[in-house]
Amino acid sequence: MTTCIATKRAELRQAVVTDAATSRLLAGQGVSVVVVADDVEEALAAAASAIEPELMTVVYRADRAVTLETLDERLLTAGVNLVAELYSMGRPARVMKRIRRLGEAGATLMLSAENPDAAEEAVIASSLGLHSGILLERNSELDDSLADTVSYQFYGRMAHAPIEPWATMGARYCDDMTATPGCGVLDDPMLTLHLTAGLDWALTAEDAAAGRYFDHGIADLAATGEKARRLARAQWQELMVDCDACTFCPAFRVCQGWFAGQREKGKCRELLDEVREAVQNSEAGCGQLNREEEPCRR
Amino acid sequence: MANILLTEKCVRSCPYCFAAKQMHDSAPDDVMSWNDLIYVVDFLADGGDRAVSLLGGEPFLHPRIVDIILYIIERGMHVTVFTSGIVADRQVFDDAVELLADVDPRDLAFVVNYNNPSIMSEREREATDRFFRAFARFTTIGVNVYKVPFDYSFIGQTVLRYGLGRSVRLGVAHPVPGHGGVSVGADKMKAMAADLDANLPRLEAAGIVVGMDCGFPLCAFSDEQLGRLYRHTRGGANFKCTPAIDIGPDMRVWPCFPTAEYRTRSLFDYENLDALLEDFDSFERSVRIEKGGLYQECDGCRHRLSGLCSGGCMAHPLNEFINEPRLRYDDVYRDKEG
Repeated sequence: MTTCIATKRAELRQAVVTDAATSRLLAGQGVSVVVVADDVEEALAAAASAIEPELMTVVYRADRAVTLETLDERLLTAGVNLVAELYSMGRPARVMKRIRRLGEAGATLMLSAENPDAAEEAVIASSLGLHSGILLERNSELDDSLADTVSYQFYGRMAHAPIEPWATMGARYCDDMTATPGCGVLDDPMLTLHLTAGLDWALTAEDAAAGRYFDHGIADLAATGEKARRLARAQWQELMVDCDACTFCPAFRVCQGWFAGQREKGKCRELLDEVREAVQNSEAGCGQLNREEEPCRR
Repeated sequence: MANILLTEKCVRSCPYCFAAKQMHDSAPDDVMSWNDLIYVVDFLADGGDRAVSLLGGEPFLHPRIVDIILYIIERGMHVTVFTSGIVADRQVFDDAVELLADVDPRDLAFVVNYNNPSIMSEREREATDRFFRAFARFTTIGVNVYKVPFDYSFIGQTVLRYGLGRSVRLGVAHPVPGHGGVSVGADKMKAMAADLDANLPRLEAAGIVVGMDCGFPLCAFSDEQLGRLYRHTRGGANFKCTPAIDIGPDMRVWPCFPTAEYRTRSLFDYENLDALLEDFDSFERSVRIEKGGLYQECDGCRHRLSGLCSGGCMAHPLNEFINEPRLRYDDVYRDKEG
């Protein structure tokens, strides 16, 4: 299964977004941790502090000027999973070899949705073997070019690296029959939870910043994870109970109101319905599962 | 090997150009997009192709050509670029010099479609001179024989002056059905063959080997001429005309330029490369059933039936059908019914 953040089926099914020091308290429990760093030295320090580097993902949020060409070489050998969040990967001719290297190192490239060429760049990187994606925010402009990334992810005829958030949405949908586009920005409580230095748990980064916590402490991670899943489910079930306009959208199961703030524009419905259809029907989505479930016709 | 047309615009207007009709009809802003290019590369790679040609118009008019060349190489394919050698945009030229510097010549080839410098303008000569000097290690020249007799003398001079690859891709100009253009007619093929034969020693003296493009009829050459030609080409003399795959910047696809008005589809219409090739082969069979080749004798010719010769370029019979009463299989007409 592909995910935005590598997770292990440990007691806590979600990955934990936290700081480097707090992540050390989770060592030995098989928990995947995510540390977000705004500069290279911070990212390298987080990687160096990891007790279980194979379970740590460092998300490096680079300045707008950084491209794959200027990405600090040391990040590629830091020994942890790397997600590089860049505005643009840079000119293809200058970063082709870098794309290959990052792909071989198992890194992920996430591109700003504000970059008008992000969709094109994500497909190029994916076709050259680099796990890539677009950092879709709830208020991102849903450009027509995003549909090209959906097509490539689910219908591309050659083997290629996953494109987010569609790859993770597809995998999650096949498991749960629901998904949201929030995985790329660590905004899907079914996949990521946020833990503060004070050991308070929040469903999203926004909740954490606002002090809206749903649990405290790390004594029973399985219970915390389950509680978060219950709350996340309840949130979208409330939309159903309230007869929210999103619940009548054909794409509701792959969005769950994530783009509700821009539904009047109609773009989210168009794009995500395409995602739903691709996930359900393509070989790269659940198509293979559907086929296996068909009765034997011999 | 498929031909990807990055644009249908060109910087030249050669009298024998077989793509003139396509270029005339193309949209002014036509360049292949990245998404379409990746679709094409995937399509071809999926079908087992490991080499592609980039064509135009003039492919160097595509502003991203250097990125595209490097991308296709990175995908594990060999790239051949057919160009006039005239790179109008100085930035594109400088990028190519810088970014292709480390490319292995086993991965990339330029074939410069070259006219006799005596009929070129001063600016054309300067531009090709600049190209040859910068990219000699990747470059061979291609020459189109469009009249008989033909002046072959400039080939050796050019190859030796710039240290280009010691081969020349030799094409013979064929008609574009219904659109005329300068070409070597069926009645001139024997004279063309004799002229080529007479010029082989001059090419051999410069160490240059002729590579024959499609559409040369075997019977244009006498047995003595064929013997010399086989020896010169080291057994590589070619008398075939089989459908190529030309993919336009708008994803239309056709077998080759002279037949573009007969069998143009969208690449998206084909499930895979095999289906596309089968369709193009069936078109060629339709034409050859109606008329085997350039001459009436081609119909029963043992060399055509054995596959040694195709009977020359398909464009010749198609060109004849246009002026006949409409009695043949519908596929061989441009304005097909139904």
